[in-house]
Amino acid sequence: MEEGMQDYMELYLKEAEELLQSLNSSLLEFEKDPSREDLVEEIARCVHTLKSNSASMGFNKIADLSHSVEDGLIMLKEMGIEASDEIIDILFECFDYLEVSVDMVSSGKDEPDNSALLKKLEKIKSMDIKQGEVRGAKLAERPHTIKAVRSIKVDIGILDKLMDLVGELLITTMRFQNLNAEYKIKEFDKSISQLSMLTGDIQYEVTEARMIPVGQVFNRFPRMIRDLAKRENKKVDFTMKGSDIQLDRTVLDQIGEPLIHLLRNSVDHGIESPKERKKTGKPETGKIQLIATREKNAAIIEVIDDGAGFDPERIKKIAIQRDIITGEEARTMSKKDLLDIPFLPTFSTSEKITDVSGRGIGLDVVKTRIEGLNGSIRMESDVGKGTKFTLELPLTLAIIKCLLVYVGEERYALPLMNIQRIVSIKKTDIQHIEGNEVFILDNEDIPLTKLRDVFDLPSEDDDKLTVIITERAREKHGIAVDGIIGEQELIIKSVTKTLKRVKGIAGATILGDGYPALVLDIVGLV
Amino acid sequence: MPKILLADDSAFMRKILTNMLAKIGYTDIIEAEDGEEAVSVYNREKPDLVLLDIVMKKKYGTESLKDILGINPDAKVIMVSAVGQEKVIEEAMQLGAKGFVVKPFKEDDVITKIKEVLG
Repeated sequence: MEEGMQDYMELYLKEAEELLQSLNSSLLEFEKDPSREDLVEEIARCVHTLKSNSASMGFNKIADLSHSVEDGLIMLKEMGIEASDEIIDILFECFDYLEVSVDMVSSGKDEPDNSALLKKLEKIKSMDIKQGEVRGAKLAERPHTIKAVRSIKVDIGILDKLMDLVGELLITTMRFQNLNAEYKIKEFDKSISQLSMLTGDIQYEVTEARMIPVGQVFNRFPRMIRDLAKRENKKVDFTMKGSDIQLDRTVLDQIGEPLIHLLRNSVDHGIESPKERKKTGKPETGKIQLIATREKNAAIIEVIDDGAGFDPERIKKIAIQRDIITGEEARTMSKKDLLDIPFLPTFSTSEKITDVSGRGIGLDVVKTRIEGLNGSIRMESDVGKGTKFTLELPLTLAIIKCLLVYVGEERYALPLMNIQRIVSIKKTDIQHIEGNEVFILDNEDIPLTKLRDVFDLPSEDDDKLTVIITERAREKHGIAVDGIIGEQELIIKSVTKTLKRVKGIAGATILGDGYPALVLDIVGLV
Repeated sequence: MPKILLADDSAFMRKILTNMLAKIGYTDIIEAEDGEEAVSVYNREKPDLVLLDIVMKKKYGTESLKDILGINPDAKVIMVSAVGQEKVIEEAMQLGAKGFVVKPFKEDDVITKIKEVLG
């Protein structure tokens, strides 16, 4: 699209649809009565307008084809040539193309190739068409559907508001469920379960309505990879799949940078120089793929390269050098655990500093960003064969799965994403190391934070503790609560400035019984 | 502030021109969406300037131009054309149009031409 023209898109599409409709109906009329010159004029006027409008938007293929149709029509009229069936078929084909193209640009895609049609139109102009030739099957196959308006533009603020309302609706529904669980009115059962289903459906639809294709972020990558590869003297074949997969706008806004980082890493540290690749029997051109797929409740984005891969031995060496692990730990560590190490802040496998991705920094930053979105990232890598990063992203940020717990009188929610498991430990198992409380689980020292201490409540008499094990960047941490209530989808609302300053609070939510609960930020707590 | 008539059958084009004119403070805009309406609105409103599209419904731009000049021989009319309409432009200029601009618009060119014709 031409710069600065976004604001006109809505009007452009509306008018383009009107023009296309008029083009098709005029041509149909004309086919019935080829003596009507006024219809040829009307068709010429419509393609003319479509041409000018499309050229203004920067949709040059639509403009070029419209121009060529206009030209052909003017010529037919001036030379008094009667339009053959074949000419009419070609015109219909052109209008189909224009319709498809307008559809594509309306969803942010590129216009399809128009060269075959341009050639056919040239044929009309050179009058290389045999009059009365048997009509092709094309026209007969054309679906005769009435096209209604399929999309309208809605302000993002309205969608945010809708999402808020869906949140309230979810809460109210939960409230009904809770009440009925308490009062057990049989007559309500069916209606409440129906209400809950409908609410779920609405939540799904509103979430969908906020979606934007990832292609809008992906679009800039091919050029970036090309430039980076050139600068590094590497040969890279970059392919993208699933550009039409959709994500919530807020999520999409925040994945661009992490993806740039991963792709840069792939060019810089993944793909080897053509010489090196040749030596190891690989094709000189390396492959980088960016693939988006959609699952029911998440979007998966993979960054795959067929480069050098991470060498576990080298990771071990550097991790020991930087005191991340001990030699003993290195010997017993699984490959999977080793591949988690590069995500730690103090780690980098690249000894050479380049200006492409610094010291290979960033994997920890990438991980923090993705986890900040309640997503996750993992890496698989084989030496000499390549690396694959898999990002799992939530479809929306507004509603997330949480674990509900209670401490004293209050209930709290913890995002499920970072929770590994829940264990019960004896108070006598707690040790004090340098003023911190620690307990041992599977031969591992795990630091412990008691929410009762955090909230300044007296300890419980019970000699057992319920502990939630969280894991972030390979660091495990235990959070002691009084008890677990269960798993729930919650609508996260932001808190006021005063509460925002309190460490360990991510937001607030309203529970099914109408009472509020704080959503805890695990990172801030530990 | 000059009163300007935009005659174009495309609401999209009228919007683009309206926004361009607003940028230089010209907000007294009236619109017409076909050739006949252009003539009748001209007759009623007597605008200081007309931006007249060539390919329009009901009446071609050149025909509308003749009618407008019939109402007021000194009318300031700028023809709006697209690529490939050189012949029509030539005809319009001979009829008495004060200038022409070409779609897709280059904002600077359009503004310069409008200011030049308004004097």
